[in-house]
Amino acid sequence: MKIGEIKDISAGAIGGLKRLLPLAVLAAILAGLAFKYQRLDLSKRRFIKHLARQLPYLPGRYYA
Amino acid sequence: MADYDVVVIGAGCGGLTAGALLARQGRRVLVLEQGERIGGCCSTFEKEGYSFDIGATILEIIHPLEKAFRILGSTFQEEVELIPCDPVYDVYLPDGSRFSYPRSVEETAEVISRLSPEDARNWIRFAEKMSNFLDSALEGFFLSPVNNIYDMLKMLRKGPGILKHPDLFFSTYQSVIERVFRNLQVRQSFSYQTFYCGLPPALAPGIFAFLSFSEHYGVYYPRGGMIAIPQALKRRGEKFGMEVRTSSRVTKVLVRGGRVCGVELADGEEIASPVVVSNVNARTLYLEVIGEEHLPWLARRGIRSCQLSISAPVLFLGLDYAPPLQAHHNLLVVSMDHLNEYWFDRYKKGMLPEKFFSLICYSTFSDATLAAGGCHALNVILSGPYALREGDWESVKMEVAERAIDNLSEKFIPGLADHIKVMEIATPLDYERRLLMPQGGFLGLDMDLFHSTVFRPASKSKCVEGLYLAGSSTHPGGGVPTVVASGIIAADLVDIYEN
Ligand SMILES: Cc1cc2nc3c(=O)[nH]c(=O)nc-3n(C[C@H](O)[C@H](O)[C@H](O)COP(=O)(O)OP(=O)(O)OC[C@H]3O[C@@H](n4cnc5c(N)ncnc54)[C@H](O)[C@@H]3O)c2cc1C
Repeated sequence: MKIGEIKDISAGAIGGLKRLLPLAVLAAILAGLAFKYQRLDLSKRRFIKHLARQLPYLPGRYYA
Repeated sequence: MADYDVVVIGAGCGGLTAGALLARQGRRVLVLEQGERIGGCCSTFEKEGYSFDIGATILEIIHPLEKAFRILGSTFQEEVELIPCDPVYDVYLPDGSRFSYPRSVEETAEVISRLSPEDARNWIRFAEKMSNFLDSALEGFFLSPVNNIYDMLKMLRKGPGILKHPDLFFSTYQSVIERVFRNLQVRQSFSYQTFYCGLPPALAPGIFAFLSFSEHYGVYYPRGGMIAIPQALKRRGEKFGMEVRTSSRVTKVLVRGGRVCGVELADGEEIASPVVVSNVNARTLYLEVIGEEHLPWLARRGIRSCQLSISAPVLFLGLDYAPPLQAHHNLLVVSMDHLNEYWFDRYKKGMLPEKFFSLICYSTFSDATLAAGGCHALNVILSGPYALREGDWESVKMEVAERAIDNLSEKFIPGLADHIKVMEIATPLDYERRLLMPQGGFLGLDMDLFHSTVFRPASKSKCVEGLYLAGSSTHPGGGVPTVVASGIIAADLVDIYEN
């Protein structure tokens, strides 16, 4: 393999990684939140669940 | 030619406030009430010499009422004789022990210090914080329209102090109380108030922690019963030409080209009017009285998703003795965890509570004229959902009442069972049938963050021109002073947009 080809492959891999980075960060944040959620006491988990369930309806409520 | 400039549907406090203020603006106003009596849930009925309040039993945070009567050329205190309630309430713990919270914050601290000196100090700090919060909320939140994001920003500019307490917005009622107070009994003494916003401690937003303090701003009872308030609003409105017709149920709001043009009554009569103010529950209004066909799909989805607020059965007891209670309001409390358990494991599943908790209003303690000759009247707010999993309200209500009376006689009010001369029971179904409150919801819609401000049906309708909302299912929510605030907002909006 020539040096130029190696450069091309590594540049492609880095490009791919760059594209994946935001997704990885997002996944890490979600995992962090899920972990935190699991560690909350029942009362707080219920509060969050209660609000989260209503999220899809908020645009409708805003226009009512 | 329109018959009236404005038709108001419903003579609850929200509708009467809007009607009276609009008449004050010089408009020809007709208020249509389906019942025989005005006031809706803020009203009083008589039975065999006893007067009982149908719903609301006290007033606190009276600023909106003072404002409404001022605009109507009078004062609230001139129109309604207010009896201060001090102590603000008595607490009965599950073991039957009792203590009293006086109006004064400092005296309340003394009471708390007997349970926990640390919590007495916490109480003083809590009262200061809540007082700051409430002052800002009264300026901004209660009396400003919040139809959209811009209104919301304006509201925050009027009362920026609200934003100084972000901890209250992002936590629950329960976590606020548990963060502040250490002692279990002290926590229990602040548990019941969460139902004043219709939700259990785990779901009520932290901002409602002000409910465990606001009583210390003053709790009042109107002489003659709660009906004195709607009567005074009616009297002032009539001075400016407002007409009120009872036994007149509106079945349709007439809409033409996206704008209201009048209403149709149950007997087929049509009344033309370019502006309609609705004091009807917003869900019923939009889905039945107006009709889904007049709503854009997004708004329809939004309205359908609104949750109706909590309901409960209420016992009205006429007694021939003075019950051994020492306050107008008496809270028979349990822990916040028990209230959560009731909500999640029983109420939501159509079951009655396992543990007994209740609010007892001893109205003749404040106003002896509500029962003749040394007799007394009690309202007992119990707990129980609208739809029962087993049986129906008609078949279980006597049993529920008897069980409650036994419990009260045994632990809290000795002799009660032997002194009942008159008894009446209102179930959630009765509230629905008599006052057309869907599922008997005491506060119209839920009062959580996502049913508040811009997410509560708007005071100026976004779906139909010329339609305005007043009452518990619009901003700022349920409660007598709160719906009076909604009536002020509706009248202001009509003044701006309908000239
Ligand atoms: C048991 C109970 C206890 C409460 N305790 C308190 C308390 O202590 N303090 C407090 O501040 N608040 C309390 N509340 C809440 C308070 O009473 C209400 O939030 C407030 O009175 C509601 O006023 P409103 O203007 O929204 O309408 P409502 O009182 O609901 O009145 C609406 C009116 O519209 C009429 N109507 C409905 N549909 C039609 C139609 N199609 N045509 C014509 N008329 C119609 C109804 O008959 C009713 O008279 C309590 C409520 C209940 C039920």
